[in-house]
Order: sequence, then C-alpha cells, then structure tokens
Amino acid sequence: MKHNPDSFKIIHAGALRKPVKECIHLMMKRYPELQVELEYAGSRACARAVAGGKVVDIIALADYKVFNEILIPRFVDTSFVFATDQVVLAFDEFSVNSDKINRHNWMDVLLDSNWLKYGRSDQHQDPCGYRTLILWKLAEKYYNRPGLYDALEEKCTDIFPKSIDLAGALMQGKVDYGFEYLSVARQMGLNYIQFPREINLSDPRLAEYYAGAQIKIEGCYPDMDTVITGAPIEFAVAIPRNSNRKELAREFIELLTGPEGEEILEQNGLIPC
Amino acid sequence: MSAKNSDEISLDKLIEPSLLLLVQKKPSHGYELIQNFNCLNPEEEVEPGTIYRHLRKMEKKGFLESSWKTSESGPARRLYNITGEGMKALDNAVVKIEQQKQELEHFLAVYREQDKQGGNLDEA
Repeated sequence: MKHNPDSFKIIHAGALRKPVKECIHLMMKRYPELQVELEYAGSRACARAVAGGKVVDIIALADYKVFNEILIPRFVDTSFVFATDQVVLAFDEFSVNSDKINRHNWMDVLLDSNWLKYGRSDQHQDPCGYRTLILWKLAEKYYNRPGLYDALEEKCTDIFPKSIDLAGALMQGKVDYGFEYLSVARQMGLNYIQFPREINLSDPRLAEYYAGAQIKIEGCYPDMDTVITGAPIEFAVAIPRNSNRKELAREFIELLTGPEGEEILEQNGLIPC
Repeated sequence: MSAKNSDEISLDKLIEPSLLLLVQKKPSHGYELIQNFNCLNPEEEVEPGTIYRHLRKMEKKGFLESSWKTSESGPARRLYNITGEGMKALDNAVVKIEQQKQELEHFLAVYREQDKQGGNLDEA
C-alpha cells in the first residue's frame, strides 16, 4: 500500500476498531478533504511498529503500560487514559454446551468436553491475551481450584494475534468460546458470561488483589522477558513525537475524550473515564 | 408530577454527594475516587462504570470540572475539581439528607415505641 505523506495516520488496538472509525467519521465531517490511513494490530505489535520507526499521528492502545514499557520517553511523551473495560467469556448460540454454561461452571464446561474449542489472543502481541492468562491465575485462587491455570492453558490451542480476530473466529464458528473484552463482545452481538469483579480486571478497588497474579511474556529484546502484573484495564491514547500532524492529532484526542467521543465509546460498550 | 431540578444532584445511594465530598477534600481522578468511594460507603457495591458515568454527568451539569493531570510514573488521567456550583449543590444535598435523616429517625422512634407496646399504640 502506498502511503500519502499528508494523510492523517492512526495505528490502534484491534479492539478499538469501531470507536476509532466512528471518531474519524466525525473528523471527516469537520474536514471533508481529510485523507486518513487506519491500521490496527495487537497493542504490543502497534507499539513495536512505532518504536521501529513507523510514522503515525495517533497511537491508541488497550493498555497504558505498553506505552510505558515500549514507547515512553523515546517515542511518546505522555499517554492519556480514556476508557476502561472488563474481560468476559464470549460465545454464540451455536457454541457447544451454550445452554449449560454459566458464571459458576464455565471452567468445567470448557475443560470437560473434547468437542469444545475455546480461544484467546496472543499474550505477546495483545493485552487481551495476557489479561486472559492473568484472569485464569486469579480464577484459580478465587474458586480455590489448584491446577486450573495449567489445565485451561493446556487445552487452549486456538490463539489469535488480537482480540478482534478471536471475535471473528467466534462468529465464524471456528471456536466455541473466547476470552474477550466486553466491548468487543457487544460490538459483535455475541453472547457472553460476565466474571466476578475479583477476576474480570474491571475494578480499581481490587488493584492490589489483581497485582497478586503475574505472567511472563516476550520482552522488547531477544531473551529478555517482561513480567506482566495484573491490573485494572485502562485504554490509552498518545501522539508520537514523530507525528507530522500534531495539531490535528490533539483535535482527535479532544474529540475522543470529549462528549462526542464519550458517547461513541459508551455505544461501543467501553466505559469512558 | 414533580419536576426534576437540573441544578440538583441525585441522592440515589449517595453516589453523587459522596463523589462531591471526596473531590472537595482533594481534586482526584476517577480511578482514585473509585478506590476511595467505599471509605464513605462501606456497604455500597457500586460498579466502577456507574461512578465514571456520575462524574461525567456532574461535569456536564457544571458541578465538576476536569483537566488532564500527568502523574510521575503513570499516564495522564482526567482530574476532577469541584466548582462553585458543585459546592452549592453539595450544600443543598446535605440539607435534604438531614431532612431524610430526621424522617428516618422519626419513623424508627414510632416503630420502637409501637414494638415496645406489643404492636398497638392505641391500646396503651
């Protein structure tokens, strides 16, 4: 794809696809001639692209900590937290045992059937992936089920680069269940089970409790792991230092975090904050 | 039918008065307010999303104003400050809460007296 040097470029987490597009439509009403290039990937993949020299005007990610780890201070000055979410178990009416599963027996339903497939996103590329693993660790403790984390990890063979790909696979029937953001499940019209707040990573009051779960993922450099500590979910947005359209980028962030953006975020199942 | 006064805050579960009281004490961001909310309302299980929505609603009504505040090690978050209108709304809310408290105390006094008399005050 040939890049227009004057176009307004946004790279964003796949989970933000719909709200970002809707905000861009509002920007295009203000500036009908505006050329926009939108690209999406897992948040860690987005950040690595910018750290690798990719020039964009806006980067919006599913975890502000990805900015701190990969981009601040060399490529980004500050990120702005604009929304929260929670992890849910998404499925549709044709998923195996969808008539039996509930918030109390979900782990048994996932583990007991040989015919049932469930998926998650890749923890090395996408925060929803490492948040799913953190949720499994917290679930082991919360339900007092020793070995639950290992059992869930061993049986989960369907791993997708980003949460939006997992949602697509759910809709196509390639997997029966997927650990997703509530916002993505709602945007896609999927059924879902909400987990208790002690494990769904939604509540700042439980920040210390969530921090009791940690996992290791690939770091920014070969053979260097990064430890991810459980924390409430917070989406953030920033203007990279190499942006060519900083004024317009500021206007986009004002729109996303202002009343119009808040309405769009709410409609898409996110909680503006 | 009673008209709803848009200059007033909702007393439902004391969410809005509690948030104004916390912000009056110290300008705070939503994350921090959620963490501190249960100090005032230990029994109340309010969803984080509900608290964020009340903050935005009170900002729209002019009771709160917000600006971006960057922390030393973390991201920038929206920091809420109480406005003059917010102070007045909190004062008005406190008057109503006092009235409600008196009504509740009166109800409890009547109930206890009636209970002491075996359930019927007229027979006393």
